[in-house]
Order: sequence, then structure tokens, then C-alpha cells
Amino acid sequence: MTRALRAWWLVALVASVAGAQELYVPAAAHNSGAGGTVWRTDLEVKARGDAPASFTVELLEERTANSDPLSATFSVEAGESLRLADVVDAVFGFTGSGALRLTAVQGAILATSRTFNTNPDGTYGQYIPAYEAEKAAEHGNDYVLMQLSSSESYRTNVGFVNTTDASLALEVDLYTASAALLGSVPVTLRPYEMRQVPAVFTLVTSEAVEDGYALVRTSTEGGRFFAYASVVDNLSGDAIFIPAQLDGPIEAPLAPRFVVFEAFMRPG
Amino acid sequence: MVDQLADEYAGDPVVFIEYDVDNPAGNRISRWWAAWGSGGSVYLPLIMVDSGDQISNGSVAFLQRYRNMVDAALQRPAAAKLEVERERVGNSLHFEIALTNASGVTLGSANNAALHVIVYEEAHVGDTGRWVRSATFRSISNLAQGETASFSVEITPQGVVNWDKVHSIVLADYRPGGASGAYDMLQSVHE
Repeated sequence: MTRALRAWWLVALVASVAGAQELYVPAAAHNSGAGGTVWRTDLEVKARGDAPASFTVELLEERTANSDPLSATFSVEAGESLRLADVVDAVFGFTGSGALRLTAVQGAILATSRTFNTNPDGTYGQYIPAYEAEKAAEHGNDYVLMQLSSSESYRTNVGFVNTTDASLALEVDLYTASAALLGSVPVTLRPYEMRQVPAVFTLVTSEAVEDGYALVRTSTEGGRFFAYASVVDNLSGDAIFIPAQLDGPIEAPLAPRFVVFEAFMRPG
Repeated sequence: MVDQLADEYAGDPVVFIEYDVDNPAGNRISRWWAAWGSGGSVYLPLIMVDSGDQISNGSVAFLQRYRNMVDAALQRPAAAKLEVERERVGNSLHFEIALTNASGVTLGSANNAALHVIVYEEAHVGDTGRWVRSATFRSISNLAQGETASFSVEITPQGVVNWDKVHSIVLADYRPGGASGAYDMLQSVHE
């Protein structure tokens, strides 16, 4: 879809779907990676329940402020699902990486994706969920990416998506599994920018890290973002997707509300 | 009929209290009027649940109407955590209160957030068996989501006959609409 066509479409969209269901797929690709890997993303969207749906898909290009992203619109009938194979290239004609933002224009949708390394012998894929926008990480909390490795056998890429229209400052603290801080990586994202940091552990240590984790937080008041890690087998190109999880103690549930019934009366 | 409801809900987290509408203690009645807005005619009794999230006035099918209000309120989650220590000193009650905001918004002057202390006695002064003796409040200042603020409040209830039957309610409320609209209670603690 051309940017011009997308422009009028978005104007109409903004006027009609304020508050509409919004989903983020944090990573999608049509490109080549380290070790001869070749990455593609298939996106699947289903109309939710027994109603038809229409939706937009926007490409939030990596390392770009995405205030005006490429966009396309699709419809699915009630009960049906739609697969957009190699979505980054087939829909947007784009080579590179990014995130996908899906907005329901009519009805409601469910979405999943698979980003895979393709080679003549087949594919190795990682499932990447589509997250509701309100599930984005928030300022004031730490989020952990765990089960990470950095060695001859594995590399760890980490990625982030800014879901706000303001710049976002992130701190990424990298630890060994035994809680030794290896170093910190600052990341600043422009509005709606997606950024992947390849082989992140190599930025803070030359040693192998067989088992480690990262703590991610934003210092930006009101900042919201998604974070993930992709741990890739350097030999096969097989990858696993690791979403950020809220770290910190589990908060005790609030006590039930104690109701106060107040009567203003005239005695007698 | 309010006493009948109090008996019905004796095992539930709800308390029924009565004020003199002509001389109401504290500023609680302002919550009723905020929920009412303006215009129209108002008749007694004025009934309020959750600081005005629900109100009623005048002659209605009292029991069913009030049951519905209470039942609806019991289904709502709390939006704050309150920890209260109460001590009687002579004819006064001293409260140490810790309020943790779980509302999702910052509580402060922009939404008229306040902490109320209400003291009532199990005494048949008006129409019911729970008569408010005194009430006071403190403004909540800039309390962000997840943060905790401490308050010290002392109150000297008027006209207490039997201190063994004196109870207290500490509650926090705010005005979700800011400068207008009904207030809503975040949580309360009853002793």
C-alpha cells in the first residue's frame, strides 16, 4: 500500500476508531541475519467470536520514528482467519525488521505470528504473540527477560517497541544467572520506534554467558513499551522468543471493598 | 427499614449509618449533593453508597432499592488499601492510617481525594440504631498509584453515651471526574 493511500485511510481511521482494540506483534522481519539466517514472518488474524472483523496492519519499521507508518487494511468474515504469509514483504514491500500494530476497525480480532529462519532443508520458527496494547510494560516496574545465553552456541538479541507518541528511555541491565551485574545498555526509542539490539551480552562482556537474564525498565514518566529476547542457536539458526515478564514481589490482593451505606434523615 | 437491612447484611462487609440531615457531621453530605448535581426535587431520606457512586432519595421501594444498591457495591473491587490503628485517649479517638493508592490514578487536589474518619455509636437517636456522632476529613495530596501515605487523625465524638458501643469508619474517596460529577469510595475500614 502506498503512503498516499495510507494517509487518507488513517485520517478516516483516527476519526472513527478512537479506543479501538490495538495489538502489537513486537517483532517481524523480512531480512537476513547473522550466521546466514534468512528471516520471514507469517501473521495470522482471526475474527473474534461470531462477528466479522476488519483491521489495519501497520509496520513500525526498526530504528525509525513511526508516527506515520505504512498501513494496510483487511477484512475477515465471521468465523474465519486470514494468513498473511511473509507479511513484511508481501503487504508492505519492505525489507528489514519492525513491529506490527494491528487495530480493529470493525469487530474484534485475535492474532498470532511466526517468525522463522528459512533454508533449503526447512524452517526453524519462533512463535511471537500479539499483545493487547494495554499489556505494555509501564514506568515504575522492572521487567525480566530470562533464559538468555551468549556463547559460541547461542546469541541473544533483545528488542523493544515504544507504544507511545513520545520518546522513551530504557535501561537494560544484564546479569548472569548468579545475579552478577555484567553491565547496562541504555536504549532511547523515538515515538513508536522498534529497535532490536543484536548479541546484547557482547556489548558488556567478552566472556561467554551460559545462563543470564536482563532487567528492563524505563525512566520515562508515562512510558509504555514491549520488550523481548530472541535466543538463537548459532549452529542451526533455531530461535526462541522470550517475552518480558513483570519482576518484583507478587502483590497481596486487595481486601474486599467494605461498603458504607449512609442515610441522611430527619429524626422522628 | 435500614435496621432490617443491617440485620440482613450482618455477615457481609457493609455498615449502615445515619446522620441528622439538618446538622450532618463532617462533609459527607457534600458527596450526596455532588452525585445529585442540580435541579429537580429532592426528598428524604437521602441515601448514599460508596461516597455517591450510588444515591437514592425520597419514597422508593426501600428494601428492594437499597438491597440492590448494597449488592451492586459488594461486587466492586477495592481501589485502595487502608491500614488503621485506633486508640482511645480520654474522650477522643486517635487514628494512625496508612493509605496505599491502587486506583490507577494519582490521588490529590485535582480529583478532590480525601480521607474521612467517621465515628458512630450504636444508639437509637434517630430512626436507626447507628448514629453518627462526629466526622472529619483530611485532603490527600499527590499520592501516585502504588504509593502509600500516612495520616494521623484525632477526633472527639460528641454526645457519646456508651463508649463500648462506639465504632469508627475510615474511608478514602475521590472524584473521578475531577471538578464535577459523583465521588467514589476507594476503600473503607470499619472497627
